[in-house]
Amino acid sequence: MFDIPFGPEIINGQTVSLLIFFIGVFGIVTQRNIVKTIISINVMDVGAILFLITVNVRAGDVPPVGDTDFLRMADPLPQALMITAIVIGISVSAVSLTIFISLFRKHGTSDWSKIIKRIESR
Amino acid sequence: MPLYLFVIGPVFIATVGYFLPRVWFKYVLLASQLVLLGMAVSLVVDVRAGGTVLQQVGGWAPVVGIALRADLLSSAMVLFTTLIYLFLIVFSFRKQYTDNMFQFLFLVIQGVTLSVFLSQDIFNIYVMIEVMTIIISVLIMWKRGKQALYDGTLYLLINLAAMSFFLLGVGFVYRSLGVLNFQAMTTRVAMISDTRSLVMPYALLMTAVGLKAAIMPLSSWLPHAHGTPSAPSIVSAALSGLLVKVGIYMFIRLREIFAAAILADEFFLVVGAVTAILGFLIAITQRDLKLILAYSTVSQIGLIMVGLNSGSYEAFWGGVYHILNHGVFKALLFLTAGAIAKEYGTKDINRISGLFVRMPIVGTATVLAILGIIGTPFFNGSISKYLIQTGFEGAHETLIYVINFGTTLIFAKYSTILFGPRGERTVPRDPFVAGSSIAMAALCIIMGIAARPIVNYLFAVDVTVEGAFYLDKFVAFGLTVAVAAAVYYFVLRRAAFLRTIREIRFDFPNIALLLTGFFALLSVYVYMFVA
Repeated sequence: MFDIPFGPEIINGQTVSLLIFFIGVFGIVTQRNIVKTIISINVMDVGAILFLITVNVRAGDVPPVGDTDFLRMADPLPQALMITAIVIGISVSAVSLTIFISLFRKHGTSDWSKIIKRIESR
Repeated sequence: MPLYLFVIGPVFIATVGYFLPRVWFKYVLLASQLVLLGMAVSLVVDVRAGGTVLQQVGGWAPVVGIALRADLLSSAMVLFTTLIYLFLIVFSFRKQYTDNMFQFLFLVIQGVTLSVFLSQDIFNIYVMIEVMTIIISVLIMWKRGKQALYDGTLYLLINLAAMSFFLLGVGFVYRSLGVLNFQAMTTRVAMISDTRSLVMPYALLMTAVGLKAAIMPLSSWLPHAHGTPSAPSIVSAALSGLLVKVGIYMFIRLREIFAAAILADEFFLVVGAVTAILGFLIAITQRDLKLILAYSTVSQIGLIMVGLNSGSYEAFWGGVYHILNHGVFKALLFLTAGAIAKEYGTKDINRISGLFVRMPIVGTATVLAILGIIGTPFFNGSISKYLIQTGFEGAHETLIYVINFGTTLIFAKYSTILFGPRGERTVPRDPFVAGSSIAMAALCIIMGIAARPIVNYLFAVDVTVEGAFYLDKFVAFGLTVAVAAAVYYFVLRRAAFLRTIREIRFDFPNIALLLTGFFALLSVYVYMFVA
């Protein structure tokens, strides 16, 4: 699985989506700001979604809409699933940000470590 | 019986009940739980008599659509969920915080949990676990305490991050296997010749599931989510007794699916042992009732993982039975801890005393639950621990003794609340709290005495448990308790280093780093040694 092909074909859906996913992982590990954490989780989600959409795609595939010839059609199953995943991603970000607003109002900071200190100092 | 009723039923009742007056909703809720329990019992009977039930939702062809499937494990988990929920709902019958919104969310979680246990589609399970995560974080923050808001946010975000790993894992599964159905996945995994192509999906899915099951080092979110001070006690009980088992259930399923190509039992055995030992080491440093119980949950999960991954038949089923047993006594302990905290107005273990006299019924239930969790002969904990222990010989058997010694040590500390000077009772007696606690305590004894028929019936495995009642077990148990009590009384009670351990806290970036590190370690280990 680690035999990466060199050349322009390396920039395909799979590698790009994995790169995006691990940029998100880098974000959740390094960022101390809660909003940035939420964004990083979003980025991870986007990476995973892009991976599923581009999975098993061949060059020249057409979207599975209407009366498409099913031999040339892209695999419709991941696309159907990813609509759900995108909707979940939006709702999840909305919930996280809402919760962040109440957290910010109570603690007055958006920094993970400062919140811990404030909880402990009481 | 249509399996989708287990999923739709609670959600439908919750939606209808939301618009009813609050008093009516309580009765509707109670009635619905009784009906669901009846359905679950009949499902278990059906599965036991007629074999696995498999149903396609929406009339799609097999493998294409979402299938609901109830085998012995699923139906046992369904029965267990509905039973615990019945007790929780009875317990909270007169509580002030259970308004319509709370009961709506609480009931939706039940439907979602049942669908995780019944669903055969890994993407469907992803969706359900996401729903569960959001609702649980709202319930943790229900009373909007400062600490609870932080704990809820941490719980939500770390679980969302883990579920992103899960989603990417689903993508890899679809790339390698082309299916998302459990049965089809199992057959296709066996046909894959290049098992290394399964390392990524395995590691991604197992990392996410490991975080859900709260194995070390992924468990630092659990104590604060389960033990947050202002969360309603039935939420803590449901989380610790029931919902953390969703992670372990998924672990069992995924282990089965990948077993033909990748079986990392040794890895998870070590992880389980570390979880169990670190769990109790941190638990004995805590002073807050709920936090002690939450860290004890971590330790017990480690014990379950040790049983599941021991490679022995008895120990595997001992681990599965311990899932049910732990659900009963830990839910009971959290419920009684809630009642105790309300009566005394504090959760600090040093300021609570004389529980036995001040709250006789809750005190008795607490004692029975403690006897269950430390594995007293004839109680449920003793059976599952005995079964897990039979899977180990010689030096490895010591591990189980050490874990059980740790559990006993935790509860030697916990039981100091039972005795000592008492104050005047302030909170009026609540018959629902007492009734629910005593019923669950009785279940602890029944699941111990009638363990063999229960295990035989639920899982259709014939294991001998009579060894748990031999004299040497009584002696070993007595010695463990005596030594644990002595160690606690003479060594730990005044030790200052406990404070240092207690104050170690991880913030979100650290936990995320542990998550990533665990993923890297697991994938490298599997790539090098297993696949």
